[in-house]
Amino acid sequence: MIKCPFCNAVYPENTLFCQECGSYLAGANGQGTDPLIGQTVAEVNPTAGDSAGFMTLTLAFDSGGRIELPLSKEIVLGRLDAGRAVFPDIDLTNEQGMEMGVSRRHARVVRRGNQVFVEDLNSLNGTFLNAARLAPELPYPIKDGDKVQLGKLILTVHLK
Amino acid sequence: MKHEIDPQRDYYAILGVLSDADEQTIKRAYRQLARRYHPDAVARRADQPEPAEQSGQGEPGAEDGAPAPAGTAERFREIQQAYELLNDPQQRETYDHWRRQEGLDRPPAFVLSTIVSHELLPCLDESQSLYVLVKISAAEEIESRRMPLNLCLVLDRSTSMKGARLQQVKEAARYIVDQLGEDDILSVISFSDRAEIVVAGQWPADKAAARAAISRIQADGGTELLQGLKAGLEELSRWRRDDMLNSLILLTDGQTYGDDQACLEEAGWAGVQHIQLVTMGIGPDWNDDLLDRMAGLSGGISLYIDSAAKISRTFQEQIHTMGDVFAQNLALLIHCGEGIEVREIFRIAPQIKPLHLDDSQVALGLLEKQQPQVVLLELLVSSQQPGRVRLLQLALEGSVPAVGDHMVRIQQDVAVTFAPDLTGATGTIGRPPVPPDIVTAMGKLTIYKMQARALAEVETGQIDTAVNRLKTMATRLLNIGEAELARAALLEAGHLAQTGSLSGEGRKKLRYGTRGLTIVPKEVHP
Repeated sequence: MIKCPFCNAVYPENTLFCQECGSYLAGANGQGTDPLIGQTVAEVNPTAGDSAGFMTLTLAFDSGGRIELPLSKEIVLGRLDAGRAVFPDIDLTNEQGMEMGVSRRHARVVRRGNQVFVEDLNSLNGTFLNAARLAPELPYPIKDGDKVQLGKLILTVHLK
Repeated sequence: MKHEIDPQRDYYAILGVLSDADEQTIKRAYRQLARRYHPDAVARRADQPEPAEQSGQGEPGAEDGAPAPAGTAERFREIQQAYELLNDPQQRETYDHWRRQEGLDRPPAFVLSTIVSHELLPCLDESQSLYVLVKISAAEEIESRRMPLNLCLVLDRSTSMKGARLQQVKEAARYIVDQLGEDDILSVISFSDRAEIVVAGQWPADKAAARAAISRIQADGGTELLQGLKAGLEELSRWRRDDMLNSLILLTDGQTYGDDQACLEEAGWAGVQHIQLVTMGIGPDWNDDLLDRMAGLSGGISLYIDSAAKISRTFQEQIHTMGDVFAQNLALLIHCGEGIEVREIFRIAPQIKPLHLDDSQVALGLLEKQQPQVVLLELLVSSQQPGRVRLLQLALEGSVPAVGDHMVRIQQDVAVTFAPDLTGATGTIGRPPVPPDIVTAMGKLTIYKMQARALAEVETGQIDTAVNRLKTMATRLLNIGEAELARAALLEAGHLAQTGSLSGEGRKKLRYGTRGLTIVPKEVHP
């Protein structure tokens, strides 16, 4: 038997997806975010980018996946946990979010005026912008081509 | 009993064996088929009580059991004849010789290939899941022969169709007239409170008169589906032949009242007659449950057209699909090994649809030449001894007009290896990964199932659960890049939370949108 780590539904061994919350079950072991060992933290102030008129955010994963979203409202990145009613706009479970140390509510992307910002939501393993760790709960401007890292998961930002 | 040897008939395909099959294989194939088609066995199955009908709760495509086994006796004779011939070495050699002379020793008409989620399974004390993806396609080498159409368009001309909708429908109908081949028969029915024959089926078709008659259709009155459906089926049965593609395209934009049950009965009758219904709904106000079930009962499909501008394209796609039909009355036969249970079967492509296993058989309808069908089986496997185990025996049957009037059959086994020492391995380490095609297909299918459950929960008043499910679904849809559908799911979650019901449009968007989450695996290893 295996148990869905998100909503505790029980399935036979080797079941691929949870029928309740749609989580990918192969390889998921625990439900909490494990702290990552041996990460270095450097305080760097990233330079502001010019993102005038951007409407769409595209996140590209090293795995080859891409997610495109309109920037009309804030976008929360994290891991979906139906059991705790956490519904991020972008669920990173299938990008190995759990193994990479992504929190349920990890970071968010917002547009204010002509600028797009990323903000860490006090995540356990931190959010990095071009390899520099961000202070939690402070918005940092991002530009096209920036690398945003959640825990160990690296996303390349494309703005259109 | 001696029979005339007919080199045009593919006796190998009738038995579902390759032309180099040895005696044992031929014997085994014959025994299996004989068990299935022997008149006594057929009679015995027919005596058994019908399984209780499924409550069609928003569950699309609920198909009834196979109709009375017409033609089984004939099929049995065919099987016997093929076996008698191939089992006699002398006759077989003569037959092979003739076939080579006439260039008829061709490869089988179908290609059946499978992938399993786990090639290597641990021996466990408990049951485990296993997924099998089955891809069915037309053999490339075989030239497709277009089947003549016996087509009836049944068009809603109620007041609400006035304007762009009716304009587009007429244009689409005229396009179909232009596309008709020499052997095709077309009839057109319009309906409101009653039905009128706009174009009666005739051969050869008078295209100019048909175009003119279609142009004269006027919008007026209510929507009485049954009237149109009955008139359409009547026209079709006047010309119906087994070697034709008998199809009825029904298009409506409104609710019909009080005749739902009668419509379903007509649809069931159409299925028995091998007339497929393609039901199309325009706009937010028609009854998707009804149209879906009608299509399902007849082995056809139902389609959602969200704006008048898309009517033409939908008709065009349908008429081209019909021109591309390679095989009819396709059925997948599944025999499970010991300790194997088929839990669910879904069609994954061209459109997601739940399928039903009835007497070890799944009806798959039509196969297009260019568009493979992909079916996903979810199995429950109970404990097995170590070693190679045959889980399933699959056989595919269907009639392929391009190779003759007999049933074509091919077979394939699905086997995996059980290993005792896998139990010790932790997590995914040391195990080959699940093939990406299966993960993608199951991921999309899971979203489709969430949709079906959410709609069912709304029906039974579990509003909070349904709201949460729609939200989860939205996140999953975003994950796979389906931003538009995700937005629709979120909007419906909001609408549902506020009003306790779904919007007519959103409900259809989700229902039909999730069906389009299909995949066709590029590389499937036979």
